[in-house]
Amino acid sequence: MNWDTLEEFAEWYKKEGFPIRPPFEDPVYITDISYSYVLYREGQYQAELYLVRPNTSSPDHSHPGIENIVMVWGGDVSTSQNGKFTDLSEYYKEPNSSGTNKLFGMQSEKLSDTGFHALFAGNKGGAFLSLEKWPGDKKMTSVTIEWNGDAVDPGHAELIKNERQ
Amino acid sequence: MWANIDEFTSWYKNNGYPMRPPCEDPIYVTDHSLSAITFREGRYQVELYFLGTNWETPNHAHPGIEYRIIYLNGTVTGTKNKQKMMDIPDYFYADMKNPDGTNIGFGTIWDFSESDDHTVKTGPRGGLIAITQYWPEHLKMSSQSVHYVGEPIGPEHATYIKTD
Repeated sequence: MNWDTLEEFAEWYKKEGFPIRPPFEDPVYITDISYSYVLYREGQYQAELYLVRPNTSSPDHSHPGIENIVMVWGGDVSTSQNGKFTDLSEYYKEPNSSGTNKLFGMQSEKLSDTGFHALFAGNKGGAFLSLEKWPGDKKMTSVTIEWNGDAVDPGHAELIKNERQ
Repeated sequence: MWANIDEFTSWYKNNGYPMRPPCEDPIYVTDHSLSAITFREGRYQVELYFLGTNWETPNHAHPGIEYRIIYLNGTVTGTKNKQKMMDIPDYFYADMKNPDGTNIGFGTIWDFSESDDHTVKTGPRGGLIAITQYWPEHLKMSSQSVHYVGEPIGPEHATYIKTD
């Protein structure tokens, strides 16, 4: 496939029904608040699914050099960008006609890699897709690794250090 | 609709693992895994498990639930009725891949009946598996981490187990 922009890839990934074709070399990426797996990778584009533990939150962070769009999936996740909190919890209370939450498949605007964002999971925990375009000179792993800001926990800090070596 | 778990599993695979997560389900937690229901229709559902690295479940069962485990990625083995599953080749641990970049075991199906017990064991890459499930009418549909009979995976998991 050939996409010119991350937005094109995100549209395509959703339209195709979120295909699963995980690259065999990638492990599960683990922090104290989340597990993630790369579900799909093609060229410099990839889709990571994050599952987030209930009642947890991340520190403010960014992913330098990575173009990033977040797509709502399941559970109960709210976000903040540059310190501004957006409470999405009302949208997760009642299903839409297909049984998913009302925001399922909704995309964020492309996140700036210089601004900071954070996530907040409620009682149900949360799940979201991270759709990414990586620069050609960087080994593709996970935005859990390409992380600028305080680490989630000491194990996360160690993971970042080890994977970047 | 589907007549049995094998029809459902074939349909799910052949349609590219569709995702339609039910609004009401939380993320299911154990000490070494997180999982989410990715699709539910009638009494059938699919649960996607993200498995941590280098651990093994105690022997356990999910009585009443018919299920199939679809291997997607990572380093995963296990037992069925205390026997190493004969169709799990060691190549899940090897550096071999299909032309499309997936593990050569991608899409392998392991079948279980409602009375089977089993273990799941992971290696250094953890694991990604999808479990197709058929739940009988008398069971409230949730997660196989919840409807679980056996020694808990850990203290955190113990708080979530709820067998009807």
